[in-house]
Amino acid sequence: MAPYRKGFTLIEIMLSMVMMLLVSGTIYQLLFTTQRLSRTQAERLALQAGVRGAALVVGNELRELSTVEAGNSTQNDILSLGPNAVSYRAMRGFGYTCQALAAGVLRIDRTGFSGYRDPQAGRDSALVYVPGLTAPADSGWTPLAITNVSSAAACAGAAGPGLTLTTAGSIPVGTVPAGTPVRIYEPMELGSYRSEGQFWLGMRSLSSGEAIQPVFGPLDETQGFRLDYADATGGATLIATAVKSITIALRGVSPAFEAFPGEPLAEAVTTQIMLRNGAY
Amino acid sequence: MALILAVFALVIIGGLVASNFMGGLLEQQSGRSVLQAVQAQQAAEGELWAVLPQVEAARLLSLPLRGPPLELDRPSPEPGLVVQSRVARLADNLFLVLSRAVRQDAAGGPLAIRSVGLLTTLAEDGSSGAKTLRPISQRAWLQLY
Repeated sequence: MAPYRKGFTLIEIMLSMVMMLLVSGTIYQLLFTTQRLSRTQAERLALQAGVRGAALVVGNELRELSTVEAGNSTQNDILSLGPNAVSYRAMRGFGYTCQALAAGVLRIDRTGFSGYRDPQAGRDSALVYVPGLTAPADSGWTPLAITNVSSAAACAGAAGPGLTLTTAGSIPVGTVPAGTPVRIYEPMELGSYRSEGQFWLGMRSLSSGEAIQPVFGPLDETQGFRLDYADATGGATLIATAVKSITIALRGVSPAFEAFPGEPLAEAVTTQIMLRNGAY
Repeated sequence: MALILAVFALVIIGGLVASNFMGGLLEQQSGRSVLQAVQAQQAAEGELWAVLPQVEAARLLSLPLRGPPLELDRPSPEPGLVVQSRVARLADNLFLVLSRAVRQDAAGGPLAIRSVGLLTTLAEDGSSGAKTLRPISQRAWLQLY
């Protein structure tokens, strides 16, 4: 009688190997699917956050624009418009003068100034509120290019910190008393552009002549960025002075996502803003 | 050996599930941040227009030029949302109305802050004859930072 020997038969080993293969294959498939799902979710998250952020940026840029029906160029902040781009006066800060100075010089109370950033010479201009100066087409606001900015001199009297702006144009001496509101603005262009074969949403300062800077992208080639303008009645318009609201449609695509071949991951946001300074 | 493999597989699957969960959590937080910012913006803007008819002309005319502003005590529109309004006198008949809204967490910490302003003048109300604040004709609304 042959002695008892521990071990497996060939059939047992083959059966276990087949089972191991099946289990390994299933686990691999599970891991692969989960990983792909995880990547999709991360891509979608980034895309959603990007589209949402870009819609907020565009809304904040355009919300404060002023338009006046049949008004002149001083009264209207939309410089040119189209379905994929808009040029406008972007408001960058607000303050009020703390003392009357010579023509061509404005001194703003630093403590009362609120801005996205400090004014920059050559890049920014000022809108000074002096009602009655340019009647009869009086907007009250006179635009002046800023040629120099200095924070060296303090405001007279209370001796608080001041922000002194030297301007290219001037308002007659005596017509800019202390307490005169001053807006700081920058001519900007916002729109979609093509770079390295992809479409992007970008912005550039028209006064500084800088190259367009990307805000968000890449965008969908055909429906990436669209602006629709409406007048006071809600009807579509392309007349800059008649614009009272703007609908912003953004559709971003994921740059190199291949989870679903032939169907790129895309996220879209549409938002409408009413122009807060659209006079009727 | 099988136990080690099983534990390894569990760790990998756990990691993937956790990363998915984190992704969802981040997405939720991002959406919530946008919502809070919008709530603060709307509260600040709403407050700005609500204040205009409620400030008496006599109180405004007693304000010193470019002096301390008139602080307005306003009730909170909803729990977790604090609004503050003030009116400063810039010139004889030019007033700057400021409104600031803060979206707070349960502990009172700020989650989102928005400030807006409106340049106004005192003008007679056509029906009652009383003087109330009215926005100037152009570029009255201000986004503040």
